[in-house]
Amino acid sequence: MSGLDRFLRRDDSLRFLSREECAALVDRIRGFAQGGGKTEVAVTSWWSGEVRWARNRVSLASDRRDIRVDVSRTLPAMTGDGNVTTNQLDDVSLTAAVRQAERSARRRKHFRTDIVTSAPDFQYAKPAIWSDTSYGVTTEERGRIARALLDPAEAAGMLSAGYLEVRAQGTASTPAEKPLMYAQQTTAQCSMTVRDPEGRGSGWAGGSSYDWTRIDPEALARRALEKCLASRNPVTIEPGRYTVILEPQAAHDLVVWVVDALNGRQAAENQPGPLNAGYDTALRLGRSKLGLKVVDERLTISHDPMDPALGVIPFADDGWGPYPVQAVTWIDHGVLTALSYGRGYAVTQLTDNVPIAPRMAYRMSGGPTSVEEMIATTKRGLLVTRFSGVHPLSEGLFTGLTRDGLWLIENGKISKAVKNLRFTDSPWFLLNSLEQLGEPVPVFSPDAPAIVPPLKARDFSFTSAIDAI
Amino acid sequence: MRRLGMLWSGLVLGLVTPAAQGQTLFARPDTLDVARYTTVEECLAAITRVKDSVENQPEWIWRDTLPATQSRLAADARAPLPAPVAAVARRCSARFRGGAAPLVDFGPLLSLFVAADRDVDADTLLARRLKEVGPTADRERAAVLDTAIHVYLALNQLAGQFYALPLFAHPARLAAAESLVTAMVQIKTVPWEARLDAYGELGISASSVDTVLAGRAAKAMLAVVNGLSDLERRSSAFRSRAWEITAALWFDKRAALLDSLRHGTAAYVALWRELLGEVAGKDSAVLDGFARPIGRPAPPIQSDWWFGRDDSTVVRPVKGKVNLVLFLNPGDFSCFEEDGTSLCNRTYAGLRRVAQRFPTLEITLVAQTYGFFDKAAPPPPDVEATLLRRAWLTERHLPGTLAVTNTPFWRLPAPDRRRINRDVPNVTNYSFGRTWHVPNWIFPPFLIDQDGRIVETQFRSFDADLPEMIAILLFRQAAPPQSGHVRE
Repeated sequence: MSGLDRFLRRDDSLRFLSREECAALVDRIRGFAQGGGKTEVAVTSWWSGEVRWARNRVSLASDRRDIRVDVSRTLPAMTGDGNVTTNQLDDVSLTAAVRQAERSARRRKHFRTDIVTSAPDFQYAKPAIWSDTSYGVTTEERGRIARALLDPAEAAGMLSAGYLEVRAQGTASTPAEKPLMYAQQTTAQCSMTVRDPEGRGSGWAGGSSYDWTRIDPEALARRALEKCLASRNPVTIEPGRYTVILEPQAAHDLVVWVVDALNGRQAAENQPGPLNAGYDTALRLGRSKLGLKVVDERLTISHDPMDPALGVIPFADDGWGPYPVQAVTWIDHGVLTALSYGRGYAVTQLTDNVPIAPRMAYRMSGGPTSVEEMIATTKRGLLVTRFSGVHPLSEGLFTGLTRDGLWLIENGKISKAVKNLRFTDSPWFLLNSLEQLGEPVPVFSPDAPAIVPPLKARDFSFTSAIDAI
Repeated sequence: MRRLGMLWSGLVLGLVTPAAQGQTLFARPDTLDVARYTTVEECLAAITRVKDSVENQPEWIWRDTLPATQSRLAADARAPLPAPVAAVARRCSARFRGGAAPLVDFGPLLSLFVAADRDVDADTLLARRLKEVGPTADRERAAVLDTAIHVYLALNQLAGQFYALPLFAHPARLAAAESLVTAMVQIKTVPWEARLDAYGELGISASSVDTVLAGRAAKAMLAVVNGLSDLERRSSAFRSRAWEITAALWFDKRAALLDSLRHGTAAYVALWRELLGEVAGKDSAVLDGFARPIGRPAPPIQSDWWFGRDDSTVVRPVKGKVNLVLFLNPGDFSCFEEDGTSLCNRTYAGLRRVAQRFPTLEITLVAQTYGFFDKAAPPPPDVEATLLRRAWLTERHLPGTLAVTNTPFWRLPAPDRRRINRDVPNVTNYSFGRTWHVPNWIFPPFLIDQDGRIVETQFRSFDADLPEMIAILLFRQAAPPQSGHVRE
């Protein structure tokens, strides 16, 4: 029985397609092509095992998998390509998909024939994104972990809710006349909230990595419970500008929007926003703030796919052909040094072939100050566990809520738990108002790994008090 | 046990049966049974699906007889909706009556009735809606008329405002639309911009079907212009409608303008200046908005690489001959990647038709390098020039001589590093001190007479106005100078 047959039969020994199976599938698809020309295929297959619980009881335990096949056909003497997506792998469905792609390509004939040029070849790195341990976390083990996570909270008379997932994915891309590119990746995440049954307090902790062994569920459970207990019976304080100490997760909840803005050089050049420097009427083009200082000079934000804690799929494609994901320093000591762009931009604007792939994974530089030292040096401020519901109001301006633990600091000590507040401020202002930075640590960021320090900043704007715990 | 094994095998086989055998294939149009649709919106959606299905038939092929319009249905403004579309509209609209349908559905229902060729019901519905609004509620009355004009002309865009209602008036109900436009402009609170636009759209819709009506619309449009104050003429709203007003002038004075061109380019230019002076007033700033470089000497085209010419010593535009100069946009490949029905490709067809009809017309295509071509590594300029020749002359079969200029450039300092192209002489020369924007694609071209003067830069299309003007210029070129013909 081939691997593909086992996949179709939901054989648990194979939960996504290997390189060889993707290659075999691509060969089959190319075999269905008629009339010559080029066939490009992209295959993504994934498996996910998850457990979700609420009010100390498991509410969901699933084991899912799916596949997506994108077929693109370009016919001889016709330059348009036809594209079809399917998740059906039987011969009839694949043949139908290829025929449909060919029909679509045929509608575009008589254009740009033999002068279609293709993307250059490249080598891509092999980052650390696969863990046998993550792949081996069975349904039974997930159940045991969930039990171990919610037991301490239940024993303390608290309610817990959480989510645990391990996931594996195979991504294959076969540009025409080029070798198959393949990457397999695991991700694991675990997060939980512990709440007082009477709604008087809430605590949270979470972790994510490609490698399950890097997540310590017991420590997460302990931390969430401690936060919940310490946040009980909060008092209301007036909103206003406060010095804030953001734990790494809270810092990430805001800095991730900064990283998001770095992903799009064209937008930074042509649309209003924190990285737009306006329209240059002399040159008749939009300018970004590349080369200008945009945040505190102590900050460097970068990403290296070969960083053991920041691995990502090592290739990207913006429709102009695949290209490698390479190391990049977005912000170097406060100065904006790079913005992402695809091959299309590289070719047309820079007339070269070296794109910078967009990504949300990042490492933010830190400093020598511990959170305890930050608290000790604060006369009046707030310690924030994390933010929730953060969303943009306008370009660069965001709003959101504190959540799962907010404490008032007075005269160098945590004095009391306080009720949540809504903030309305800009992460760019935050990163220009830094006072202290701590040691960067991995934070909960299941979609893209991130390493972020705790930080202390002045004059962060809270605009209203929130009753919700 | 054996039977159990067989049963198990059967179950497994059943589970792994190829999905395609068990699935319900989605086949368009999914509107065979329109009786199940009960709302106007569902009917309009069904008609849209069938129309899309008809318009996107795979057998749609590219040929040089394609008209230069964007929609297949709009190719012939007199053509009715395709039979399957009209049939669905009729079946789906059967449950609605113009005299009884709820007026809350006025706009969509009006469109549905028109699609179903139930114009009597449409008129009844419109009359009910106007009666409900009453004669004194000017703003509401104008809005109702505006909606109906859109529906009857099948215009989904007016003065830059996108109109979301699905529209199916094929052919356009020109007579009804004219009466509605007349009614709307009589409402005192309707602003002059809306009157201008309404007449403009009516004229454009009628121009290829009913030239008498188009002429009336042009005259009415000019009457609105003539009634404007100097302040209104100086407004950006007025200047932004320069193209439409010029088009109306052309339509209204077409015979006189063509007659003047028969006499000579100077006469043509003088008449235009007089006409524009009448509509734009004496304010030079307003006049600049209407200015075209007509009557000016056409600068010689400079080039680093020439393709498709026999005699490299002849200056282009060629003196003593009628010329067409077209600027191409090789830096933007959108035209290369569009499908067979695209505007770009229909425009190429229009140019090929012109070349076939006037073999003595000198056509010069002007291009420049941009440092890239498609997805390849940046090519050297001479390679890029060769690729441009293949793209435009070999692949696109564009007629004429191709001039490619190597574009000088500099780079912004790192980390920006963008390539900044310097102006090339051809674009600079044909911008006439930046009073005129060189088109960045093949249309509109510069039409140049045998004396090297630019005659016109604004045409409806390669198939409208331009051929007639070329014919006149070629006649002038062939005919010896006579007392009736003025040579500059």
